[in-house]
Amino acid sequence: MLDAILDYQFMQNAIIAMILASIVCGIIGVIIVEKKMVMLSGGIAHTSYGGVGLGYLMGFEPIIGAIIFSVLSALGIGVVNKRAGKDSDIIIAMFWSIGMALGIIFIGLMPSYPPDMNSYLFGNILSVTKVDLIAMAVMSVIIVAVTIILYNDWKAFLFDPEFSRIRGLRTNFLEFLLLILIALTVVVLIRVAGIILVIALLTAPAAIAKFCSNNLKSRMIISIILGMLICYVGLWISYNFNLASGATIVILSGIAYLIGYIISLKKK
Amino acid sequence: MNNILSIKNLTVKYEHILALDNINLDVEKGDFLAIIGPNGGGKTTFLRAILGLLKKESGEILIEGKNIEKSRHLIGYVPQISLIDRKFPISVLEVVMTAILKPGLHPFFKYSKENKEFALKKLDLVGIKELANRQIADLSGGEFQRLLIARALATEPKILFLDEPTSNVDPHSKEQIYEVLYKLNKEITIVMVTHDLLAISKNVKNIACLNRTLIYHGEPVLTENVVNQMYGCPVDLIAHGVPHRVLGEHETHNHKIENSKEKHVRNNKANNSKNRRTK
Repeated sequence: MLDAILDYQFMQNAIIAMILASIVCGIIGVIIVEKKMVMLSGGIAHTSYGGVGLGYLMGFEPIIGAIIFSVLSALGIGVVNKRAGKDSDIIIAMFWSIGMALGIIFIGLMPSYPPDMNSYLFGNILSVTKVDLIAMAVMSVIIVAVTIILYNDWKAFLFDPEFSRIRGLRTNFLEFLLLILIALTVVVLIRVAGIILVIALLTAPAAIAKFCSNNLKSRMIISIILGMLICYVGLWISYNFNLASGATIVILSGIAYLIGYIISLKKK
Repeated sequence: MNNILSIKNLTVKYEHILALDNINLDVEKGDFLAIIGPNGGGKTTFLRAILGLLKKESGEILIEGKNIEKSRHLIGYVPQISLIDRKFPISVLEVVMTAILKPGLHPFFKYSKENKEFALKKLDLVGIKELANRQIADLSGGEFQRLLIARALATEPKILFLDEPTSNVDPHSKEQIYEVLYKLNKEITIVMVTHDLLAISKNVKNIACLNRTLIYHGEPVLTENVVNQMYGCPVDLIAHGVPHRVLGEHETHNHKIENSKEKHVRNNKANNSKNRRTK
C-alpha cells in the first residue's frame, strides 16, 4: 500500500483525511463519551444529510451544506434542549429524521440524474476531494485551537457545569461552543465513515481510551493514536481486499472496542 | 448591618407546583445555620434559589446587601456529591484549582505555581493534601466530600452553603467533616442543609426547618414538637440512631410521653428489622 500512497493523489488525500479525522475524533470523542452526548452527535450527523442534498440541488459543495446544516442543528438542539430540558431525546430524534428526509427530498428535486449518495452515507475515504480536504483541515484547526486555548475552561465546565456557572464562568457560551465543535467534528468524519456510520468511529477510540487512563489529556492523546491505527488498518484492508472503506473502519472500531473491553475486564 | 444573608418573601414554583412559599430568613455573620426538613421539602431548591440557579417567582435574596450577580465572590458552594460525576478524568488538585478561575473566559490560561500552592493549602485545611495527585475516581465518599469543601474554600468565600455534606459518608469521615466545618466557622458563615440530626446538636448554632415554608427555631434544641412538625412522626430521628440525645425535655403531658415511648419501641423494632435486611 505504501507504493500506492506515494504514487496516487487519492491515496495521499485519504491518508491526510484519516489523520485529520483521528485528531478531531480523539479530542471531541472523549468529551462526547464522557458527557454522554453520543446520541446527540448521531442526530447532528444525520441532520447534515439535508445539507448535502441541498448542496447537490443548488449546485454548491455538499460538504459546505453539511457544515451549515450540522451547525444549525447543533444550535437548534441546544436551544430547544434548554427550554424543554428532559425531552432532549425526542428533539434529537426529530432533527435526526427530518434532516435525512430533507436530504432525500432535495435530491429528488434535482432535474438531472441523482448523484451517488453512498459515499456520504457510508463514507469513502478514497474519494476525498481537494475541496473536502481543505474544509476538513480548516475545521480541524478550529477544533484543536478552540480546545487548547480554552482548555482550563473546558475542564472546569465539563467536570461541574453548575459550579462553573455559580463562579461566573461563561457556561452558556461554552455549552453552545461545544455543540458547534461536535457539529464540525461530525462533518470532518463524514467523508471517512459516512453519516450513518460515523458514531462508531467517534466513540470507539474514546471509549477504549477510557479503559486506559483517568487523565483527560492523555485520554485524548490515546484516543487520537487509536483512531489513526484503526483508520490506517481499515484503509489497508479495504484497499487490499477491495472492501468499502467506511464500513471496514467502523467494523474495526467495533472489534477494537470489544478487545479493549475484554482486556479491561481481565484487569479487574 | 450584621446580616450576611437576607431573604425576603421568597417564593419559588416548579412549573405550577409551589416549592417554596414566602420564605423570610436573616443569617448573621458568623452563624452556623442548619436547615433541616423532609426529603422533597425544598431544601436543595432553597439553596439553588440562593445561588441564582433557578428563577424565583417573587422575593429578594441579598448577600451583604447585594444580589447574587454582584456577590458571587462571597459565596462558597458545596453541592451534594450524588449530583457530581465522580468518574470524570480529573485530579484532586485540578478540581480545587477550577475554583481559582475568575468569572469570564480564560484563553491561554495556565495555572501558576502560586495557584497550585494555594490549592494545596486548601486541601491541607480539610486534611487531604496527600491525595492531591490522585484521580477523583479513586477517592472514597468522605474524601470526595472534603475535596468539594476544599474547592469551595478556594473561592475564598465569606458564606459557605453546603447541601447534605454528610450523606453518603461513613461515620468516621462524618466526624472529620464536622470538625473541619467547626474550624472554618470561626471565620466563615455556614449555612448547611441536612437531615443528619445528630450533627445538629453538637456543631450548629441555629436551626431552621424547611418544608415548603421555613420556620426559624434559633438554638438547636430539638423539641419533639419541632421534629414531629417537620417529619410527621419521630421515625426519622430513630432511623438515624439518635432517639433522645438530640431531643430536649418532653414538655407534653404524661400520657403523651407514654404514647411516644410506645411509638419509639415500635419504631425501634421496625428499624432493627430494617437493619437486618440491609445486612
